[in-house]
Amino acid sequence: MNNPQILIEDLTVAYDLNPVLWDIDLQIPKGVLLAVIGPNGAGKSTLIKSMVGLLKPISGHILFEGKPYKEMQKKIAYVPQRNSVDWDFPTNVFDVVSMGRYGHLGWFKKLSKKDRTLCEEALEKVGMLSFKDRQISELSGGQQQRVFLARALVQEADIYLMDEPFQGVDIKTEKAIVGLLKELKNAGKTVIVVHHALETVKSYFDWVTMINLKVIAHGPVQEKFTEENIVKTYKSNRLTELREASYE
Amino acid sequence: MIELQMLSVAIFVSLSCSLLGVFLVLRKMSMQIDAISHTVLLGIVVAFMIVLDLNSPVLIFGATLMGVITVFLTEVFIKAKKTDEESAVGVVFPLLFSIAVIIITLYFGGVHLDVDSVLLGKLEFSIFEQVEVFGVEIGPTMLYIMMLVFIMNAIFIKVFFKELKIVSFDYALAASLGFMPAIIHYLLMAFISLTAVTAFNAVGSVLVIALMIGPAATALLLTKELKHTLLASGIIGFVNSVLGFFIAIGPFKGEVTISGMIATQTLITFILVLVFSPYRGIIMTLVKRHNQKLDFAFTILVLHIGTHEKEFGEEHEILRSNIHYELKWSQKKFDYQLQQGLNKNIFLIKNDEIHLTKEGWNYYKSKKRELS
Amino acid sequence: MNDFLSNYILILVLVGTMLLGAVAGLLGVFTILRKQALIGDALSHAALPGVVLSFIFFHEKSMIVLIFGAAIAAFVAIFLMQLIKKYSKIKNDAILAIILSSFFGFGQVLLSLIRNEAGASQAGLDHFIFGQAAAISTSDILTIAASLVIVLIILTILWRHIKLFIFNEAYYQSLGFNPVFVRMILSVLTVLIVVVSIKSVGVILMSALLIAPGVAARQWSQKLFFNVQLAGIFGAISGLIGTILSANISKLPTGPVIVISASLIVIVSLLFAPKSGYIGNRIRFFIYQKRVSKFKVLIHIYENSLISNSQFEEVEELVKEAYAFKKGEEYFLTDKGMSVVTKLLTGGDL
Repeated sequence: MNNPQILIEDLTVAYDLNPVLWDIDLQIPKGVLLAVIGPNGAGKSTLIKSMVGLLKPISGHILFEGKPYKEMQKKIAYVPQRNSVDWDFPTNVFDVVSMGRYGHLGWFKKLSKKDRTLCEEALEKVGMLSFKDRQISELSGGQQQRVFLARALVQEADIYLMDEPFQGVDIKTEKAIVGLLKELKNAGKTVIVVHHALETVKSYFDWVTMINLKVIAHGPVQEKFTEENIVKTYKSNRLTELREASYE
Repeated sequence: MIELQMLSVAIFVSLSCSLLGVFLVLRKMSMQIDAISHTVLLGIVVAFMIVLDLNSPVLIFGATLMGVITVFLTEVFIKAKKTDEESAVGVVFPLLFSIAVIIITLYFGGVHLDVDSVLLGKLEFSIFEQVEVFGVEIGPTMLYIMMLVFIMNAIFIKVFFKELKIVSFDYALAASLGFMPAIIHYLLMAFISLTAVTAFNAVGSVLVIALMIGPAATALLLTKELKHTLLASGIIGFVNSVLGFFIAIGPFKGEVTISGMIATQTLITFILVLVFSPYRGIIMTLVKRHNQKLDFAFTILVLHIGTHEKEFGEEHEILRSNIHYELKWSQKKFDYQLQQGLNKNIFLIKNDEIHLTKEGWNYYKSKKRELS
Repeated sequence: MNDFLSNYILILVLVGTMLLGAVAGLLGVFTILRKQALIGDALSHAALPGVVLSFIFFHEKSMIVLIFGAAIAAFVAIFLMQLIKKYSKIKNDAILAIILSSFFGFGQVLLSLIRNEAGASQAGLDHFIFGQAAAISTSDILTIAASLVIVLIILTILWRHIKLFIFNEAYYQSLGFNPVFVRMILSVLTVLIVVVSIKSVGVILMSALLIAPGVAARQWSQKLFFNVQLAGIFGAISGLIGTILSANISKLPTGPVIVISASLIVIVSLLFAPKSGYIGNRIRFFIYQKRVSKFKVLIHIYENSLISNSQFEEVEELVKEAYAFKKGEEYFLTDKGMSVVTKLLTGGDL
């Protein structure tokens, strides 16, 4: 691939001497809507977290348009898992979304009218505008996810990294979110999503990365999302077999 | 006049503490202030060993620094050994405190480092030292110090409001947006430490814990937005100190320690709000639950009637004398719900059978839809 | 005669502190596991008003009376804590802090009320805060020993229940058992230990006794059974060291020295325990990192035998060292290479 937007080379991440990601090589082109899938504990979340610098790898590096994360921070939006935040915090929907603008504001500055408008537009897009003064503890799972998405939208990023956005979310919300993601893709953004439901990969995404400790397959869904690859990812492959065997 | 001075010291201590306390509570660091309140002793002792002057401001600096170090050590502990927060706090501070006590006993057996007043503080004594301007006493030093601290805290929170908010709410997001949350965190800790140290001097460490956490927790019961929480916390802190003060001075004629009284008042206020708060208080919650149960029972009755009314051979299901048996309800419960239904024009009685009115049918249909 | 007397007192204190350390360490393991490590701190502060009220009510300062008052106050505190937890969103740490400070403040109020009454003195408060290990009497030891026996008996009888309750409360309940019962037992035991030890180590140092041995023990074993025993032993050792040191160096107060001993045990455990010690971990991790870079390529070979050009040199190096061999255009792992790959993947030591 010439000039991938995101380049991951040699990425190895371990928790306590236990490798979770092994020697990951990935080239992700611009403008794809990509699903990262794999069994639990396979390293999907770890991959995303490493990409935004929340985890330190043992080896390897990740480059966004040739530059390290710190230099590209403003262009990358991260949507963490819902349980990463205390939903009892005294703040409302609008407030949470506006936090997405803080990166652009920098220190000390307050929200401008433009920022507020952006927030309202984002809320409108995710269908939560009427909730904007609601306290976040009163939201359902699907609503919380939408707020997180709106927060990512206002960051006006080029690359979106989302960790299990469909987890515990109702159908209606799921469809709405997918619609938004496709819109983003059509606008030229790159969207990478850690996904857990195999049934919807084909209909939601155009690229897929299948991970189980190593990259099993990576590329357009049409080509790579095959029965064989799925088995390799979820059942076993040479590496995991080796690991299982030695545990006995 | 003396009373007024004491009261004003208490008020400003309270205001300084209750503002910052909100962030401690939100970040689940409430017990850290308990730890700090003990470890500052070590800071004071070490500082004293350097300057050998009990009145030197270096002591306050040393104490503040020690507070920050305490938090830092606790966090190192947590990260390095994956210990949970409480355990880490519970190991670090007794250690530091013990070191301080030992140093004091060994080297300063004779020096008047009155542990009692460092740890317990006496609001009553806080006013003895006065600020003199041109030979005129214009108020206790403590008062001016606490006013200064309060203003500093207020400015800090105002300037760093959104940084404090995002770091407290979503540390990872703050980091990914480039805010270096660690800096904010330790800056907050420094302010908290400084407030605690100056306040200990005035009112003692136990009251400081109460003043930092009590009003903040109470405010969280009442408010839904951080700005309001801060405001409410300040007001509640103010009220607690005034009430506590006057109870100590009034009915108890000053025979009891004012700090202790204010600390007690903190809990009383909290419990009162907890029980009686209109939206989420205990009483309202219980009332709501009770009403929900009644509503649900009513729905069941309506559904029961609606389902059986139109079926032949099922008349006994809607016989007035029989229904409570079918539903396994007490007579009392059934009578109550029946009356409700009659009042609302949902039920009507025909030949000793209960039927639904037109409105009743609409109600029935909408409930069925809701529940499917 | 003097010598004998002072030796006798020393032995008393020694036995007392060792027993105390043991029982507190034992029980502390459970409070840590329930994520309630600082409850000892909170309860010991909360006990003050109970102690004072008891004194006011019974007009005497015997151990039994004070323990009784302390226990009542502790139970009231626990009740309030659970009430607050049930009906609000206030988190655990804030609840502890509020109860701790307000109860203690109330205790101060009561103390100041009786300040002028005969028998009450400020010195009493000092002892309450710092403890007076050096003043352990025979009856105190009997009380401590009794509480140790009680704790051991209950732990033995209810071991399986407690273990299951702590690790998986939901499952425990689904089996038909009532978690409230176990929870109450643990609370009662905690209160018991707290009120018994207040006199010896005081309010402030209470937490260390409950927490430090448990934290240290965890570094050596993950199995609850050994954990508990180890914690008891560590607690006893802390008492031993603390008492002996403070007996030999004049003016050293016993309580703080016990705490420092306990903390030292924690620090040593944290750093040097074989499996999870910090230093060991850093070294192992460092080595692991180096090994990963060196042998990464082997994993590629294991997977599909083909090498990209950039890896050619690395592979040749490894072939030289007999980790792999070449057959035609492809590479394969030797036994030595296989074992390296396996070890790397399972994160073990090489």
